[in-house]
Amino acid sequence: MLVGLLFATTSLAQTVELRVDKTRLETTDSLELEIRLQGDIDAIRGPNLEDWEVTGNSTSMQTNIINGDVRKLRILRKTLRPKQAGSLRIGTVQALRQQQVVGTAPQQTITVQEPQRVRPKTVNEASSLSSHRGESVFIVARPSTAMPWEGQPFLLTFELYLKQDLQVSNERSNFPELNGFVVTNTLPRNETVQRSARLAQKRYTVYAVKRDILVPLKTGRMVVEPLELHLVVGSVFQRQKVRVASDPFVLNVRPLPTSNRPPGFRAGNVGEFTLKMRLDKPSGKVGERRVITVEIHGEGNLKSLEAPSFPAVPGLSIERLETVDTSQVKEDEKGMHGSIAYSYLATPDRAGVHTLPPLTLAYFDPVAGMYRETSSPGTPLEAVGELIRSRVVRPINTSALKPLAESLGTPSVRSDSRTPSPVYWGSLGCLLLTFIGFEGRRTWQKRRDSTADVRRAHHALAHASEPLTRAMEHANSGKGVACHQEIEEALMTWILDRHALQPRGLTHGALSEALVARGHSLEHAEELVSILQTCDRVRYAPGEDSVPDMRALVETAQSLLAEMQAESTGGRA
Amino acid sequence: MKPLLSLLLAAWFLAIPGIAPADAQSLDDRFDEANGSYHRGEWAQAIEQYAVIREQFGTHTAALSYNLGTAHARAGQSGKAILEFERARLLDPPDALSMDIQANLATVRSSLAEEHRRSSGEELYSFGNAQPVWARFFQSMPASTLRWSFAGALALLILLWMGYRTTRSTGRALGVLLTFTVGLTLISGTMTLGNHWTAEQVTVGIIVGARAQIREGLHDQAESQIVPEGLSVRILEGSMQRDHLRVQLTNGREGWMAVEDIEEI
Repeated sequence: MLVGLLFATTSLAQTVELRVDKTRLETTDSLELEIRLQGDIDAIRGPNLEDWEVTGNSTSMQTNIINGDVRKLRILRKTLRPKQAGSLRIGTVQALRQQQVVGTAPQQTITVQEPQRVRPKTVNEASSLSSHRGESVFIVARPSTAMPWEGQPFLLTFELYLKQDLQVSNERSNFPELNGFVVTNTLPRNETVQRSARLAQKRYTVYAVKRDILVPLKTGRMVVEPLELHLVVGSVFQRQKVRVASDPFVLNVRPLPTSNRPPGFRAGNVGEFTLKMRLDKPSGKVGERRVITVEIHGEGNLKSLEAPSFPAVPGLSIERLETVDTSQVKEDEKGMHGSIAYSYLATPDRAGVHTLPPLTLAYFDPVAGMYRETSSPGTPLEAVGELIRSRVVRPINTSALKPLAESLGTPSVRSDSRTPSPVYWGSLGCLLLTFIGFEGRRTWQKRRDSTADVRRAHHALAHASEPLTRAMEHANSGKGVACHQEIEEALMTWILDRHALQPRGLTHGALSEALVARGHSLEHAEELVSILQTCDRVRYAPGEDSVPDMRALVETAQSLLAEMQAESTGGRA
Repeated sequence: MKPLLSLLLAAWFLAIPGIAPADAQSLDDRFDEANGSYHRGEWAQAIEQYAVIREQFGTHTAALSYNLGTAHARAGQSGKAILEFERARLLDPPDALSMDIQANLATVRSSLAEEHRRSSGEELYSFGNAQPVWARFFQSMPASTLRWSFAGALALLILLWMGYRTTRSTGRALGVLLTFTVGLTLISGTMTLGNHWTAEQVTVGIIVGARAQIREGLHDQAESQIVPEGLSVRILEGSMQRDHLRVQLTNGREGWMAVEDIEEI
């Protein structure tokens, strides 16, 4: 049977077919394209969709066995949106099997039009349900008033009606631009607002798609454009894409009347309000601040209300605080309502019972179409304590004031400026650079001199070591005079080379002083003089010196020169 | 090379006082106009004209602040008068002007103190400086004077040091002079640092609100009391939420005052 099935499958022809759900549409619509492939097809070529924007792709597979024939159907679905109006082309599709074209679907031409501008309707026409009789899905716009007053908050709701046996999902929404209004959204986030309704014996589920409080900012004829939804509607088994839109409609915003306008009326005070005033404590000390809270309750443009002002009261200073409590203002399906609270500080500067004057709020009642006033009664405020004199300072004894400066003077930076001027930093920098340069130069010179000195010391010691070597040879061979002459030669050479001091011709005392003056210790200077004296003595009175004594003297001279060398160079050589 | 360097240094130091505003003529005319308003007794007009010179031209001179303060004093705005006199003091006024500033400041303060005594029956506040004693010590001289003193002492010290190092002189006179200069440098340096630190740490303001109140806290029920205009206060901290500053009065009392009632010197 399996072999039979395979045979049956391969024996069927391969076909390719293009299907569209509509051949005419508007630029705001979408088109569903199906490419149906039947039989064994490896791949397809095309279609050319350069006139379209592909917004969705899906694939499904169906296998049908009819009278023993196995039919495999693969469906590629694309959602297309036209890029422009006109006759747009969906190109040819070729089915390929083993690199061979086995089927071709011809191209299709779709007519795309610009959306037709619908004449704006009246509010009654736009919100009427009767024109939608028989429709499964539609949108209705419902303003709470057809002729709002300037500054009057009103509700505008867009509702989607859907037959109850249908399911819906939203793909795309185009909301109208509500220019000329202050718009506040009142729909709760992440929550669907819906209700049931019956229309022409059919039950509908009504979804609130958009619900705003609008406050008109200007008067005259204002058009509210349609709200448009692109939906997928249908049952579990069959769904289709539809576009629904509300009707555009006209609102006529009325200007507030100029006649009978109360003097205290402020633009924005539109609604129906009552005013209450309360004092935190009715009695207190003179100079102690009391808090007056003025609450305005009602329905209307609470957020744009201007706080009423207290008239001047002798002996009482009243100032308004900037803080406004709007936490009790609600914006929901009933519009803007609740209460707003203003705070004032009252400070009595004299004792007695003061009266907070009645506070009046003038407003325009849009329902009655006339101006009204709401007032709080006067409230007593008692202050005890001593009179605080007027804080206005009496004119000072003018004769004591010194005359004006006649010259403006040189503009300057404040002397307590926390950032010193660049001139100051520059001067300080110059000073430090001078110091660093001076010290640096001296250090460099010293180091240079020191290096030369060490080199000279090395040279002197090396020069002196030659006669000392010869002296040791003479000592070993028992030649006393020669040995001492070489020792003397070595010492004289070292002094001359190291200190540029000619020791010949100096007395031993003068030589010792000269060595001390050049940084040698007195002990070393005297030891050197002592060796020279020994050499002199041998020269003038030669005797029999033992070899060990001569060797010891040579070694003493060597070690003395080494120590004096280190002494004169500070240990660097 | 050395003479050239000396000339450059000398030119640098001599050039410092020569910095002048570009629009000096126009400013002087405006200043004269404001003085004219003052002499005609139009205090408010004079105040406005002085304020324009400062705000629009960004000009800050001791004479401008002094005249503005004097005009405020004539107009009975003692707080603002004191504020401007204090500002004038910080702008390195010449000696003659400095004496006038001190005199007018004393006049306004004594008149305020007398007014305060008369109205309250006792002396609750002192109209003196709100700075602590140590801050007053460091602020006793203008910062610029201290800075340049330090720079001068340092320059002298470096010169003497260079002389000593060059000549290796061990003379007594040089030693004394060197020791003296080291001391001078240390003192002026300490004063400069102290001045800078106190300027950073200690902020002083003047009460300019005629009905200024000091509150014990920021809550609505906090006790409050009216404090006289012109009082010097030390600003301790600010509260951005409530537009209030925590201040300390000259009598040591601390509390909160509205921002608009105080102006920083």
